[in-house]
Amino acid sequence: MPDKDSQIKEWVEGYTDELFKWASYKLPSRETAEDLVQETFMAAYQSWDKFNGESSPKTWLYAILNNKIKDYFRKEIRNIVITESRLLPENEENSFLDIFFDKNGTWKKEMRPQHWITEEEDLLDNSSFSRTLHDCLNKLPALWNKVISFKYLEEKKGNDICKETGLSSSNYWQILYRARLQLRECLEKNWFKK
Amino acid sequence: MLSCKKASALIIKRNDFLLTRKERIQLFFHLLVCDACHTFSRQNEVVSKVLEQQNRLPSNWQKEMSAVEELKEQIISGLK
Repeated sequence: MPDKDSQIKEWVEGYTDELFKWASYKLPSRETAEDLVQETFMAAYQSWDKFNGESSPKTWLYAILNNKIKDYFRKEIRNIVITESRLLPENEENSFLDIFFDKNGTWKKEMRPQHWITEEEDLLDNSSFSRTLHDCLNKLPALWNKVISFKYLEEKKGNDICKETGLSSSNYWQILYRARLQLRECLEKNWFKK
Repeated sequence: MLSCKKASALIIKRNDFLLTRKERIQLFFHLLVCDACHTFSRQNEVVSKVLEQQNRLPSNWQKEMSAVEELKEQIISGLK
């Protein structure tokens, strides 16, 4: 068996590229992505004895990295929950939702969801659509983006996400609701009408 | 009758939480008659599926990425 130092060096050479691309795709900044990739290798180095070769090193490293990314979002959201007294913008009841609905709560004409011309199944596995969605995610307010990113990384729902982040259930789904309204609108503008 | 504003909120809420019986019934009847909210609901399901996909597949498109050589060196020296 090769010694630990040379083995890890080989992994750094072999997998840093890919891990870094994945991390920068998932995370809001390049610096955070670099930090978490570095921490991933440090963690792998420290728990090298636990790597039993049953999975490939790549799978193992990805698992460590994904846990670090989840921890990052969990902490970020928790911090915002603790420090911000208002999680939704002030007067938000009247401002954000008024972009979409009139005073009776009916869709405004220009915001009413239109039928998308592409069939649903053609949107899955469509890299260009996926990219537009990713760009739209990045245009969301930071907290909304983090909540969505965390939810889908954790692959969990409502109460579990609230427990982990400290968000109240009503704040959580009000954030998701606003984020989803904005995402859908952004996709319609940037993908279907371009 | 539920407004579109309330109906669309319930459509998102039901992804994550159980709706009350009353909410379910109200939403069901609203969706029967409201094409816009029905569309909203279907499109959000597609968006959910793509968001789930983005977590499993390494992205099949790649951002231009500057060299990571520096990062590699930094990692290796950090291990010592």
